[in-house]
Amino acid sequence: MWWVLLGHIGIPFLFGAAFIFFTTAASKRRPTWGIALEAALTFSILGIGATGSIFENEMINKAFQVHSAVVGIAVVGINFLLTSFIILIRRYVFDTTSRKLLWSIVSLALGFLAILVTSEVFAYAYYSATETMLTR
Amino acid sequence: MAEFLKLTVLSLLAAAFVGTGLGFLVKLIVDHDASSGRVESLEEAVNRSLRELHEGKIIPIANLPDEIARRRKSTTTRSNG
Repeated sequence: MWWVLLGHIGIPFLFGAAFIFFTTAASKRRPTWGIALEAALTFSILGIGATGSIFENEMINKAFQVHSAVVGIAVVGINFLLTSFIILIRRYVFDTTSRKLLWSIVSLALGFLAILVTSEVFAYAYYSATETMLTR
Repeated sequence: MAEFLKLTVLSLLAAAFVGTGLGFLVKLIVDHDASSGRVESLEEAVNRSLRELHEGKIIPIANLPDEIARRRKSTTTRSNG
């Protein structure tokens, strides 16, 4: 159970905290709630970038076979959609709302989902491959 | 299918937890900087005022008489029961 918590919450939180510190330190201005949106966008861009490896992974090809390209494109599409939600929040909601904490949490969760979508495809593929090996 | 659903639910929960934790981390950073007593520049002060105006924390001078009348009325209503 500990590895599930570490893999799904501990490690992502470590990377997220690191990105937030990077963003805070790199900015010349005072830290504002915009840090959360920048970190969320960084997460989503990472998720989109990591999707490229889906097309090359052997486990993905074994799990999804002829459909692996469709799966990869679907993941990219979902990541773009999540990123667009973050940008919509930044454009239309964030500046005028007084609930900065709530919308920061929503944005960061959306950004993190973009990475999770990519990693869960891998997790599902490895799970399927393990199941196939065990049943043989 | 069951495994896929399990992964989806796990992902959503993990995103909620991590988003909440990181949101509070950002709040910690912003609040710490606000309470540090550092003197803000003119540009920062103007941007902050504009932001507070958008958020409704500052009342524009043109709206001030109406706002005072409204608050007097609500205070009178409260004291009269």
